[in-house]
Amino acid sequence: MAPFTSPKVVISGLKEKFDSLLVHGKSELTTSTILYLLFTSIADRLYLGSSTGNLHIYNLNEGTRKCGSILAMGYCSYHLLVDGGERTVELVEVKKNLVRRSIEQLGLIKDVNSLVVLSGSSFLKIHVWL
Amino acid sequence: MFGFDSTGVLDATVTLFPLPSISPPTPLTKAKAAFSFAIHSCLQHVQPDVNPQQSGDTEFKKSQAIPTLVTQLLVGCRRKVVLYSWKDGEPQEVKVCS
Repeated sequence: MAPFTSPKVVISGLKEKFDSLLVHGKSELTTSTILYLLFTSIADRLYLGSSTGNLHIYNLNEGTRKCGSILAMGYCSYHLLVDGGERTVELVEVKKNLVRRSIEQLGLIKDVNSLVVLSGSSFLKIHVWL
Repeated sequence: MFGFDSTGVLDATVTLFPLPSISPPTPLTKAKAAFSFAIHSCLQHVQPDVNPQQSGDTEFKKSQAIPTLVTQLLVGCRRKVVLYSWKDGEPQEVKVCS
């Protein structure tokens, strides 16, 4: 399917409503993933921002090897077949109540290695004209 | 005719969270009532401040342009646009266009 390959579901059964997401790639790997790299191929990160202000952080793996040691550490793991190869999406962490209101937009500033979070226009917008 | 138009008390805000620890948060206090933001990074060749009396050789001065990584975070707010910027990771003065 041009100009992209067939889309696949990588995560399903999410319990929350997510208003924003961000994916960033291999060049932005942080030190916390270095240990992880010993066990699997290089991961991309997926951030999901929920309507209640929670941030879910996932690793997106292109590799084919399973990472048993990561599973043993208690992380959730999702497995999926992509064109014969296996793609795993692993929940790394859930930051509960990162902000008090909904996460509307996520961004990344690479040179200060920071996540940009726009939150809170869950504010009521009321227009009443009689 | 009676009119009522309210946007509530809770305004959207933009906050920076350093990776990988995601703390401590840095709220961008000049970008109140934010609607959306955009991020742009580019490499600029910045001319250093050279005292003209010290250096008369223009060719030499041109070769001294320093490549600088400039990142701009533009936040669209209710009645203004706020520009946060960094040069090689150093925060610059915040510009407000209203």
